[in-house]
Amino acid sequence: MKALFHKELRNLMSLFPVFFLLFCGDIIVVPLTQPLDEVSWFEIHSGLSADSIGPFLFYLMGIIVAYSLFPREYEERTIEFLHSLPVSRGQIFVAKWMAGTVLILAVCLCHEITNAVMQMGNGDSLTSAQFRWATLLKLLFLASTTALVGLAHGLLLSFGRQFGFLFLGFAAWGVGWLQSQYPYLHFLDPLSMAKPNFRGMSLIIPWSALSWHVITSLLALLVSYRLWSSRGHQGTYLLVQRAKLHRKKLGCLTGVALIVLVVLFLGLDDSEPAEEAPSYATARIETDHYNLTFPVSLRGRALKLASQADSIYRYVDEQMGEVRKERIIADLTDVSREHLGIASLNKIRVDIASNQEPELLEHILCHETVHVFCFRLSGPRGRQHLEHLGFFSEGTAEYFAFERAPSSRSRRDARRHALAMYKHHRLDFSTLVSAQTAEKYDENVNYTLGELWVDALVECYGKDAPTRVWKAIGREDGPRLEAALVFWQDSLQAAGYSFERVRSRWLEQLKQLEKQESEFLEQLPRIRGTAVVYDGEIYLEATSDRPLPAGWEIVARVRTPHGKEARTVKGDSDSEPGQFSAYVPSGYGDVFDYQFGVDFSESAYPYFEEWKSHKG
Amino acid sequence: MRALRSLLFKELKAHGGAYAALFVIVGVFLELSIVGMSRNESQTTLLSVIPAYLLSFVALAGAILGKRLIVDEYQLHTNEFLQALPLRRTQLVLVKYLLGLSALVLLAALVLIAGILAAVRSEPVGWNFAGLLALRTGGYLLFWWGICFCYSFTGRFRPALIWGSLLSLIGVSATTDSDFVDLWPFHLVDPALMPYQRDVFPHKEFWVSIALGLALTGIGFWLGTAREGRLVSQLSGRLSQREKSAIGVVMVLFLLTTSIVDLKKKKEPYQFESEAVLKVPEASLEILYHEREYERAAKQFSEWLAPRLISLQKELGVPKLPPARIVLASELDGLTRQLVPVKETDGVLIRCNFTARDFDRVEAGALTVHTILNRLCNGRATYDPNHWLLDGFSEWWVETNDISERLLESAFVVRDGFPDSRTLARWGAFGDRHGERLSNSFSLSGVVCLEKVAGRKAVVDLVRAHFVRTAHTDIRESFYQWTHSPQRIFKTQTQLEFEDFLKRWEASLAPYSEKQERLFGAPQGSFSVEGDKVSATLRVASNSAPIKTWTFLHTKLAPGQSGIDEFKLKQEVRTWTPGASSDELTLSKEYSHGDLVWLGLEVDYEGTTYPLRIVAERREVKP
Repeated sequence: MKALFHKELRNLMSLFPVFFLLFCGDIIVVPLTQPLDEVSWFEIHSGLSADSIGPFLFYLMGIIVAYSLFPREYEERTIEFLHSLPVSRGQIFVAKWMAGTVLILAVCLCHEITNAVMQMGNGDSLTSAQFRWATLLKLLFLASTTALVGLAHGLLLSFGRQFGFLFLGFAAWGVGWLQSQYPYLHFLDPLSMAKPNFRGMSLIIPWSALSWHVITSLLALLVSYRLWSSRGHQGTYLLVQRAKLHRKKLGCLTGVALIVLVVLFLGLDDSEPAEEAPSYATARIETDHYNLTFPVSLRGRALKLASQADSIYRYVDEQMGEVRKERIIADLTDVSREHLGIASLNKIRVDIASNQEPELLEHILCHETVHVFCFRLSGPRGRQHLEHLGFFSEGTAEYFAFERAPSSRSRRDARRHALAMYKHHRLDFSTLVSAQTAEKYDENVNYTLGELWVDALVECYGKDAPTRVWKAIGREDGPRLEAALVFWQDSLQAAGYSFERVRSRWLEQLKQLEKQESEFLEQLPRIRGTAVVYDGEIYLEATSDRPLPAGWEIVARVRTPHGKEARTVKGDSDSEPGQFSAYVPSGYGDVFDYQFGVDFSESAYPYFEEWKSHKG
Repeated sequence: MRALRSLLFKELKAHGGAYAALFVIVGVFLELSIVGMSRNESQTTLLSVIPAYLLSFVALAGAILGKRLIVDEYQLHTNEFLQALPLRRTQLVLVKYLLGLSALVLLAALVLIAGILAAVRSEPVGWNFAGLLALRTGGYLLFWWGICFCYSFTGRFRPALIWGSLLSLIGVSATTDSDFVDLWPFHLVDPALMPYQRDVFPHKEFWVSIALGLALTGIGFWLGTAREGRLVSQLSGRLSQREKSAIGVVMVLFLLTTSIVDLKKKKEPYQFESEAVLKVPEASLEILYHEREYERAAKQFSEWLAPRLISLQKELGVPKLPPARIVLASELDGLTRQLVPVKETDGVLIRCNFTARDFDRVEAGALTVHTILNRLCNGRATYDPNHWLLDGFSEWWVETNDISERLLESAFVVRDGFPDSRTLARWGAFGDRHGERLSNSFSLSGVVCLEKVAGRKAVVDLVRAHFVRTAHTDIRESFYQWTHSPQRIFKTQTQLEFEDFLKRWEASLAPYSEKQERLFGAPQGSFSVEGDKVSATLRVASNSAPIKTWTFLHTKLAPGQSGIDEFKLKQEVRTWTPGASSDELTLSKEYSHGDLVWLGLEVDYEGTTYPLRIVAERREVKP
């Protein structure tokens, strides 16, 4: 028995160099590619990486060793010599199995030792402490168990010679399919045993998978013992001799089976769960009145804003009065080309990525906080009349933001914008409250003409007037009013004010502004242009009816027909002064709306002409 | 002639059915592919079906034909029947060669004709172009059948040769910039070229393929006829265990060599492809600013940074600095910088927002110098014992402002004792504990002290000795570090004992000790990890410490994770109540039992630009 074992071991040892190179090849590669003082254990050890093919290779080693044990002996009839020796068939089987086991254990041990030796020179303060003996022993145990399971399976499969591989392929597909349908059955995969799973720094031994595979491997060993000990010759005769007579049919069947297997594997959904889109880490900060979330990459900007947040809240509270003592959720991670901020009942979003000036960010935060207050003051009735509130809502927010502190948003330029829109488009109160005005000209008119309207309200009735109007809007017993003019007359009356007085004051202010800004109005051009098609590309071309002052430039916007979101289009920088040319960005097709305007100040909205349609 | 005819008849009878089936299968798949491709709008030309099929089905057909015509003959010993025919051995081999080649040509012709007929409906395919396609296919077929024919006579070594060749192709693709289709014979049917090169014929590749094909055919003939066919009979047995093992060893060694060559491959610097790039060739500096409106800011930054890089190059005596690439990252604030790991390329790629109002050009410049020096010595400048010098020098080289704030920060770092040489040699852990800002400030104070004590030249000499060298990327580097201890190099370059220098360094910070305590209020941070609750507590000795906010940083560490992944670091910022002496923050159910977590505590003070890290620890969450 001992001699038999030695003979088998000698025979198998010819495989040792291959396996040694395969599993311990890093002992050659690593010193040739890395200084040993920076070799970390987790970096080089395949068993510590979840994506490693290590478990597959260990299992494959078991299969290869198994295939080297019996089939050849039977096909070359050397088994007859063994049978003539004074040893039982069971002992032959055990000797062969033991030789395979010793080879596998030797390779696994070398694998662990070489990895441990290579990381010994690591002097890095952060990675040198990764090595743990307990983990090494567990890795050794799991790798060798996987390989021994492969050996047991291989001994059984090798009875079917090459067809064993075919069976293995179908079994692998079956296990894969079961795993995809019933993920809790993942333990059926023998490779799952050697996949590292940590709890903290401790490598977990998957006992359930281990017991399942040890039991099935013992069964496989038992069956293969029975087969090889009693029917080895029959198997060889059946598969090697008889099969030759039907090799064409068998070849065709094998080919078909292979094609089926390939199709089955292709159909197996092994796609990894969709990875979350990479995003920048966010952080949270709580102030007395806000819960702010911000991108860590903009920490400085966000903290600066956060440091002013409570004072902004207190200012707005002083002006408008607290209604509900609730924190405001402020999302500073928003990035938008279309707006600086958005507000709802309890939540605001501010784009701090595109705006870096601290005063401007405070202006935006103040503006959005006022919106929150307005929402809270006007309550459910306010939400019922949202279509009438656009200019007043934006006007109130802009008014208090301007009142609180100066920023790069110029109040003078905002009023110039208001004046330009009022004069050129002949706007009055009835058009201002109409939603069609924003759609026809420019939604920003709500900010600028609205701010002027609130200013007129304050001039007439004092600083608390906007708050009282908002409260009046929100009164619970207020009627549902469809007509905008009637709604505003009712709201101001309910607040104790005269609508006509405010409107007159507003118009007076506009007249005064017209006198003050007469030079601006003279300089403000009318922009005429159209969409033209050249070589299949659509261009917007426009000219100014008078020379543009320095720093002013013609701009254009496009949107889907009557769409809400407009995209600004910058003109070709090589254009003549007073001329504009730009191609319409892809995605708008042949049918779209466009408008031209003048960007007269960096700190205010551009003035725009009426929207036009391009019908293709 | 009759014998030749009967041989031909026997071969057709033996393999005709299988070949016809193959022909039909390829035809069906081809038609399906053409229909599928014609419905795919992104498909530029239907001609691409030709190289795809030549490289797959036709190549596979070659291997199958070789197996059936030659290998099986020797394995099943039916060659003995053939040898009994009144034919010369050369004639036998010639019949097999021509039969296989004709079968392949027929199959390729089917692919070629079907591809051209399908393409003709949507694009012009003239006779000239069709002729070019046919010639390319011919050259490729001659080569491919040459390989299959030759390998078929290698008997038991055939699988090993096939796998070896495949591995070689994979190896060439992995270790060079060329894909295997760039190799001459395959280049003829390169899917990216064959359907598009209407006026170009790759003469060189064609003739090389013909020559290779003929040479392989010649070898095949020799193998098939040498020693009256005994050689091929000897080769046709089964592989012994030792032969298998030897082949396995050769293959694994080949794979290992390939991976070594791949790792040693010299990488090209990262290249900007945009036109909005500001280039300063003298400083090897390029700045990508994306839009014209940011060009001015890029210019301002380059005008500040480039002279520093040029003087760095001159003073260190380096012929050329590694290329530094800086990218405008508008989504970052001015204090944030990101070093982009570009595995496939060499050089330095840094993202920062140089248009931001709060842009800290000193820190961005220091990071650039830091990375340049690290690249200069093959990534070994970050070797732990020398890392403090790299950090300090990088800061020192670009810092032009008043550094009193940095010295105060340094004094803050050493408030609980000055680190000894062993602690400094574990710079990675030191940086992890104190944070990037404080460890950079501390190392800067060290270099400033060294300049005072030993002079500017000594600082530059020390840096040159450590970092201006081509470090080996293998075990030789470990021997170098072993024989060149940092302390010995320090002594040689500065004429100072390192321990003495540490004492002077400590003394240089002593004047700032009291001031830092007054300013920062001797903060103490601690953590408590109990069950599913993780708490951080901040205490200050002085109630008047001008603390604005404090931040509890935390993240879960994966096993084996060394550094902190900044993108996964969570931050809880708390505003500090003026006059308070302590504050606590508890997180519930954020981590579970067994998790290894990294916890840090940082404080933002009035008047400081960056938060100061008070404490950082790695803790395991225990029940």
